[in-house]
Amino acid sequence: MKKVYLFVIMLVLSTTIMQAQKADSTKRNPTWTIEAGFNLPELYNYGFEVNVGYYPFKRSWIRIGPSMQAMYFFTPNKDWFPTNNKTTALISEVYLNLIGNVEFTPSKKKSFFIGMAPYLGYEMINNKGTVKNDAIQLDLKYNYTVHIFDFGMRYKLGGYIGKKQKNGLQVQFQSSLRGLTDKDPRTKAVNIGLPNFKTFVGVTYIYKIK
Amino acid sequence: MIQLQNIKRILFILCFSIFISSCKKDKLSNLGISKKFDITSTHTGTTYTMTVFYPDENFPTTPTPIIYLMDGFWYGDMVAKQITDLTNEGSMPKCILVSLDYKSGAGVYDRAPDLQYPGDGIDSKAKGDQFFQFLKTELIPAVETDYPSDTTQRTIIGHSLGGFFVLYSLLDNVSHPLFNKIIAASCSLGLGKDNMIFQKEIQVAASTTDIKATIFIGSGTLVGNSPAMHQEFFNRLKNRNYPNLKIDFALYNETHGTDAYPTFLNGLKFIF
Repeated sequence: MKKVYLFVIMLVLSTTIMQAQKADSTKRNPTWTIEAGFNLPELYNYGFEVNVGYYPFKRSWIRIGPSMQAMYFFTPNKDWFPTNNKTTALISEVYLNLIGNVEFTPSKKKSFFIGMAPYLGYEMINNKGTVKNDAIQLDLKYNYTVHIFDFGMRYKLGGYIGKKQKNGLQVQFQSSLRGLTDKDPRTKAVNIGLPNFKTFVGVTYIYKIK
Repeated sequence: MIQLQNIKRILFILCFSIFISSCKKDKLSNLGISKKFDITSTHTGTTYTMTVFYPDENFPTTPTPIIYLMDGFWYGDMVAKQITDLTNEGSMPKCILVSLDYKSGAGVYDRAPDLQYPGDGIDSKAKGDQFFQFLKTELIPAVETDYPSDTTQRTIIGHSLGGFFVLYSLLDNVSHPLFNKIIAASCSLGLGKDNMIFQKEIQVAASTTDIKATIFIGSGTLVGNSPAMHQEFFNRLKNRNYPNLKIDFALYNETHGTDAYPTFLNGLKFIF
């Protein structure tokens, strides 16, 4: 399954790069962008994001600017063990991040870019559901909410397509680095896929507003 | 230009320092003395590699609490560091830590049959009852022949399936508990049809008036219905009012992968 996702990402990326080669160098630097994308931390955890970017600093090979990122992830109900429990469950995660984007455009003619973007932000995770089992008189409702300050790094590859260079595609890898402050030696480094150290890959559509 | 180079150097040093500090690991030899030995069980047919650790220059010569840790390949170093820190700050006595690993190197897979008791809805390979016999008749006698044990403070720690095992084995041997102190983290309480550990608890309550043990249970709040199940299990045990059962419970804003650390740390403080 992982190979399929890797193939899709490579396909999107290669198409983007090929299209990006047609770029007109005068149009490749946006001032305002809006991005919308799908993110995948794990096969049973899905996420969507919207990202509004502003790039006040621009040169032929680099552009720098902040962006505001809003993300929503959810984990649907899953019975990990075969039980007779009747369950409902939903884990929802909301993220609001301020990102500092640095995007390099190595070629003078192509709009292909490589980006590094540190972020800091707020994260809210809600875990709620019910468990019932009459055989052991179990009838539980639960609702836990966690608020976390988070920071980390986003890496991205992308480019704009078409003659007008209005539309772009990007693949991204974003990872929380908050684990570095964790005392637990097992989780000190970046944790892949854990909700409280969110790490994911994703694909994003970019629209150049201006 | 010179300023730019300086900034580059500072950034490089900063990134390198973060990388190095994230990789830094406290080795057992820096924390105390440790020894390894292999033991093959006639009950499970498995060869285990045990690591015995003590947070001092030499192993003790007087009776000392011994802590048996399940899934030592994951948590051995972590718990050794916790014991060292808590000992140094005076929060617990110096203890011997015995971490269990699998000689095959495939503990991630080999652990599952050992840590599940056979039952309805459980994997047919489950041999938790035999694994318990291994602990009782092979491992503990071997360890406690070589190291002086304070058997009144014999401790077991488990996480996930290990957490299920340490609690279930207590309930299964409630008249003569093998371990007096137990730390159970993020336990697989939903195992088996109709949650066999809840069924066991109901059976024990009907036939027993006391449990002589000190138990600390912990779970992350981000583990599906696990925190609610842990709360319920704790409430049931607590409300039985067993005269010699000392029990506490805590939730942490963590996931299944990260709740072992705070549970073990606070569990060690509680049980000692």
